[in-house]
Amino acid sequence: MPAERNNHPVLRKVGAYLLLSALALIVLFPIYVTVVGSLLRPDQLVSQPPSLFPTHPQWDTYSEAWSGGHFSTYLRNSAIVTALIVAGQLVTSILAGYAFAMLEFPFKRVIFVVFLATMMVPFEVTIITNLQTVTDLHWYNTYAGLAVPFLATGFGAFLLRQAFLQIPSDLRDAATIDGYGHLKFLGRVAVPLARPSIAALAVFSFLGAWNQYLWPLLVTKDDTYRTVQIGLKQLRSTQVDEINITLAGTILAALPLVILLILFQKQLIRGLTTGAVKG
Amino acid sequence: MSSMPSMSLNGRSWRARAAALLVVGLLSAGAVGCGGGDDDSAGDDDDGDLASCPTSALDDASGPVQITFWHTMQRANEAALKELTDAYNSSQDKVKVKLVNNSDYDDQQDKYRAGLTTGDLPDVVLQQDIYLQQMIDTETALPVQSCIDATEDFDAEDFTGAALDYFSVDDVQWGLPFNLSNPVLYYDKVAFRKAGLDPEKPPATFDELRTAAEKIKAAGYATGMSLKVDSWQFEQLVANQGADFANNGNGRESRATAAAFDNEAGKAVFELFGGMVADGLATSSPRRGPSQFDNLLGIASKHNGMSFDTTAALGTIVELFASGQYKDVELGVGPMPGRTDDGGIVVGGAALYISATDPAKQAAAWDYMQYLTSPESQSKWSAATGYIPVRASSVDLPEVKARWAEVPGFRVAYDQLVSSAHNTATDGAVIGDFEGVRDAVEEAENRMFLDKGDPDAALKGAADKATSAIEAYNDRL
Repeated sequence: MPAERNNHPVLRKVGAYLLLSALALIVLFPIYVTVVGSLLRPDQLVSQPPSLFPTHPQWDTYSEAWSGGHFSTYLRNSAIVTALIVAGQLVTSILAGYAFAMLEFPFKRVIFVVFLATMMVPFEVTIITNLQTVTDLHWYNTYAGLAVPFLATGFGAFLLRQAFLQIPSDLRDAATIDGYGHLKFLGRVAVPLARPSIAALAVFSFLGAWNQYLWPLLVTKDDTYRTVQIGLKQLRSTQVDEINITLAGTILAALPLVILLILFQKQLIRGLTTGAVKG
Repeated sequence: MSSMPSMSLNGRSWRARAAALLVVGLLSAGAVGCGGGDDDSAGDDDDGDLASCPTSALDDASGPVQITFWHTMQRANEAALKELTDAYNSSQDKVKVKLVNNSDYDDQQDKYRAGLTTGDLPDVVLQQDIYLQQMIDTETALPVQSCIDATEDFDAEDFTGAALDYFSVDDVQWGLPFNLSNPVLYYDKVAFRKAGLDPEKPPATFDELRTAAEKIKAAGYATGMSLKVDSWQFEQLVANQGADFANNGNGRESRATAAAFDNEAGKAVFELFGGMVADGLATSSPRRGPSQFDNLLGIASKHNGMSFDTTAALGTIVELFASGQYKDVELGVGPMPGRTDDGGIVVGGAALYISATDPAKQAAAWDYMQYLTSPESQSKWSAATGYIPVRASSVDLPEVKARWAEVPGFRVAYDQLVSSAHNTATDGAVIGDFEGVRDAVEEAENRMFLDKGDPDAALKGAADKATSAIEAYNDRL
């Protein structure tokens, strides 16, 4: 029945797009409201029913948020600290993940379980000991103090171990015959093959590092080394008619994340679905 | 794989907060344990063995003394504080003050407690009212009392009402009040007229409040009153009836060991609140989060005719009403109802503490604190922020006069404070884990409002839980 075969895919496509559009609307609406809210006049912010379109966009809320939240300093600090943390986590996780997947060494299982166990310990529990260590090392109020405690994660080692385990042993054997040592194999074969998982890890560590609040507040002395989430909190006002500035700050602080997610979207989705669909 | 457990560090989740509080709390308890001997009374130092305040160290210092001031003022308030401080810095060359903004009182307290480990403590810190006991227990503050004793021209008489008394335990002044606010009754005069009530006579007793709510509802409003679930308001209404909130004279005769609000005064408030919600005369609204202004916006949009809230919001609310957005409403401000002869309003707000250890910095801190609390500074500060001035003579200065002429509601808050009786009830409770106590009260209110449950049982439950919180803190010392 040719007519049916022609109709069917189109209908399905329309249905799928309708459903996806509805879902996208639900996801995007809060973001839309945030953007609109950041542009509203103070009196429009509290009007009933709420305004859903900025008839008189107030762009100066952004400059106000920029200066009020010290964003020029804080964004730079966040960028530096986040870059350090992401780079550090990638290096340590790749090396540790490779070791757990490919090497044989004594107490491998025990050590791996210890790595996994660190995932069960919330950072808050170790916060005071970490603070003590950082202070003793004279890293208080420095980039090192902000970044070093986060340079390695059990989660990253675990994620990349799983990725490296999926590399067929034939490949390793072939590489050995070609004279590849472990480092060469890691750099030329294993890392390129595990790229989706590595990208996913990069995005996750970026999110985690970028959104840090309590640790940067505790470990910094003043504005010089503070990060963007602290600036955002400082924009929070008790005045109901200043919410537009808080919202503008939220957008500014979230923008790097949004750009990153758009750039890494493909890798991220592939990273999330590797292992889920075994081929 | 949707989140990274080791990186969930945004400090917002209850888990994060609870864990941080626990750890940091234990730590501070440890620090105190090492330092103190007997800790049975709230402030066990006698006047005699207070550390001395080296007021002359400033004159001996060569070159300007740099001090750090931790505060949590945001936006317009921060700008006003900066203006005052800049003026101070440029008016003399002995002291230079550096401001550090720590976002909010709770986060700053976490940072302060962490500073017991790192050694990074400020020279002056602005601490929320309820942290008084914790500040005493950290043993990091040089009692302001020492400096007052060493300053001949200190005019204690001129401080507003019981502002000094709140921050003093066992005759030792620990903090110097800087910014004060109170809860007041906000209401819509138009609603009062429609309901046949006198718009110039806000309800003065609990019965009158309930009757007003009944009449406003009968006049076609969705509800008579919006009640914020806020323990602070409950505390104020208990004190307004002259009753203690915690035992041992509100923790002022000796360290509080149990909640005392399970008394007639507490019952009267819970029965009033519970009854009004059960009978549809009031609805509850949250204290935090995106809906925290719903009670006041409700007045503006003619949903409810009345609500209690802080005077810190008064300036904004007045502007809101004047914006032309809301037709046919007229803001009224009245004192908190239920005042008895021995009752009154407890000072709310924050005080300055000296955490400096270096004599020159201690002296510099004291100099700066005297400047911030001078009648002139307080007049400017109050006019810019809406806080009640801590100095009585500020009220006659031009800035405050002009601001109060614009917004007469400020005077209501000031008057209800200075007309209060002076006793342990109105001095306010001194409790170590005040946050835990407030959580207990608010949880009980929430449950009572939702289940329309028995107010007496709810109050009893709140008191039991509050007592456990108090005991848990005391046990850690």
